Amino acid sequence: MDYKVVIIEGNAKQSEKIENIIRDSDDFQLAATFGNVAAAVIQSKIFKPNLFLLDVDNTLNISAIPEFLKNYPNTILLCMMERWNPDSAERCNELGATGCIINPVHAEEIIEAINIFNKRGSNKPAEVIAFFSPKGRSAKTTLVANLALSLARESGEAVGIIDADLQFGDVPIFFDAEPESTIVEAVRDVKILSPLTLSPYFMQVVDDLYILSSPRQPELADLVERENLIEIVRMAGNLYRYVLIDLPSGIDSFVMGVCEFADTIILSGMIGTGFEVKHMRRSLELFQGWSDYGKKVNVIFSRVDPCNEIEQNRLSNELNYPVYAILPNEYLLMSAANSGRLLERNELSSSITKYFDRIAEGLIK
Amino acid sequence: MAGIENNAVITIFSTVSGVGKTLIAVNMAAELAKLGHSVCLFDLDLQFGDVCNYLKISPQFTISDAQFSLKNSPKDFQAETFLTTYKRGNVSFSILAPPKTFTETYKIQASFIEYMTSKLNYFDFIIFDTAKKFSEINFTALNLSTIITFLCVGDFVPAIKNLKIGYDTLVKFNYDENKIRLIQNRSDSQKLILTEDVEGVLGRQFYHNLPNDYMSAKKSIENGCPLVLSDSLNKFSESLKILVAKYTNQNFEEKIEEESGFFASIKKLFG
Repeated sequence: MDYKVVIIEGNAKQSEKIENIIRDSDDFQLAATFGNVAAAVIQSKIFKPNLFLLDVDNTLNISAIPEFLKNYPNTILLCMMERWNPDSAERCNELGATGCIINPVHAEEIIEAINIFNKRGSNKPAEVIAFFSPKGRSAKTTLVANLALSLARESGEAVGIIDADLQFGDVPIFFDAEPESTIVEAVRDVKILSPLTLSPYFMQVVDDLYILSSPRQPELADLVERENLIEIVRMAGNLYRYVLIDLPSGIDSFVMGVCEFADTIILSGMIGTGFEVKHMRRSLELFQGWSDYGKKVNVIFSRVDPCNEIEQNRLSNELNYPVYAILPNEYLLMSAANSGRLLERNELSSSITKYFDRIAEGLIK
Repeated sequence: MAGIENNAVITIFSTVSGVGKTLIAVNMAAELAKLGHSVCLFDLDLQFGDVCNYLKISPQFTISDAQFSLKNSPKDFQAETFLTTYKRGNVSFSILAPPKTFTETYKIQASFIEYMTSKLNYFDFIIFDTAKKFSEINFTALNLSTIITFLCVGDFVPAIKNLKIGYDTLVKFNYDENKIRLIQNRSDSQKLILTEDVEGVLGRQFYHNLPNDYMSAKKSIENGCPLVLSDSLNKFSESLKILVAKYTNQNFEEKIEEESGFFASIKKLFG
């Protein structure tokens, strides 16, 4: 595709650099360069550009994003920054920009960014969903993996899973994948990464689904600190419309910090000994003080038998909190994970898949 | 007391949740008590421990109260004050209950587990029921152990991976392989994955296999009565009794030699 580019960059030196990149590439055609954002919004019309490169180190330029979208509705709006600034990036996404990159050095970076943001889906902020099972053995990863597949399919947007179950993460097994890099390297490098350079740390498992693996050995878990992980999550939100985080069991500051950051929390439990509802009730108390508690925290029970509305209501009453969804016995899903053939789950009875599709529909924003 | 000269610490550990750690810890405690030993069971799943849930007891004091008491009045500290007794018929054993609130769980120090173990070393057996993870508390428990019961269930590929990682980590951290006993629970429940294959992955044979007895276990939990103390015969209890007999060296000496595993035999060669 031939891009007709308008550059908005106040710094003359930087402006010249970008102009040169654009001029040197066959994929781009330089339409105009502006130092002033207000002038760019009005005067770009005559050039009929299809790509804006907007310097957002200048916060005034960020606030002009809605004007751009209004005047140039089907144009790609790439925001550029000298260093990765997650706050600015999130602000740009909220306002509807296509995406944010570090000031490019090569034309390929711009093409790659356009492709990634195109795959990501609509120009809306990411939805971060944390999956947490207080006590463990809850079919949590089964839920994460299947919901990710359903979400990607139902939304047509990109989904990233971060396996933050640091000692015993199982996400790659569910997809029969052997990732080359893990969360340990991503966290180690976070200070020098941007979305484009973070992207290769994720492994693509199907078209719209990518995973970041947990550490290879349990003792490496200590290298992943909460603050760095949250930075990775925020960055991943620029690559994927939905970022799913698989958390370890047990309550600590790591888990609670990630939950606090997430937009949605899925608390999962599996019916077994009968004490699960009691554990869940205690866990819910931790979130009760949060202002968005009722909206943000969703409880899902698996292996519910009989798996019907009456039982769901009974569980809700016992829990004294609405049970968001229930899943039947996990046997079929277990055998899918056992064979590493989750991706062929359409072979599974569609009655199982439909449970996940229905939950995914509710999570699509 | 049934020929035990030294007291022993047995940890029930796993790197997979839901494999029956509490079921086995409670029944092992009950069986040892039934044989006439004095037993204290520590519930070290501090956040979500199920020992008291299982036995339907409401402890007055917890490990948290004990730690608090030691800190505030060390001179008056009496470890046994903070234990709860479970009694059924003429069988009884003691329990050190987990904290009641999450906030309290953050404050429990690994060194306090060590302290309590030393204070309660007059018990013939101390049993640790643990949470699934490598943590300071669990490492302390493992360090204090005479026997580490590493509990496995071989029905789920991700779980087997985590058992392998868990076992390898224990070996890597220099836990004596003779101390670690691999026990397979629900060994007969499904055969999609063969026991030999699980053993192949782990690189070691199971020391003991416990059968699945879902209905009996369910009933036992409903009644709050350990399976080994119930009147009805069940295959889980029979097998657990054999395991306890092996642990207490009652007529099973030879068998232990035979079954102590691949690594042990290598060690003997180089011994």
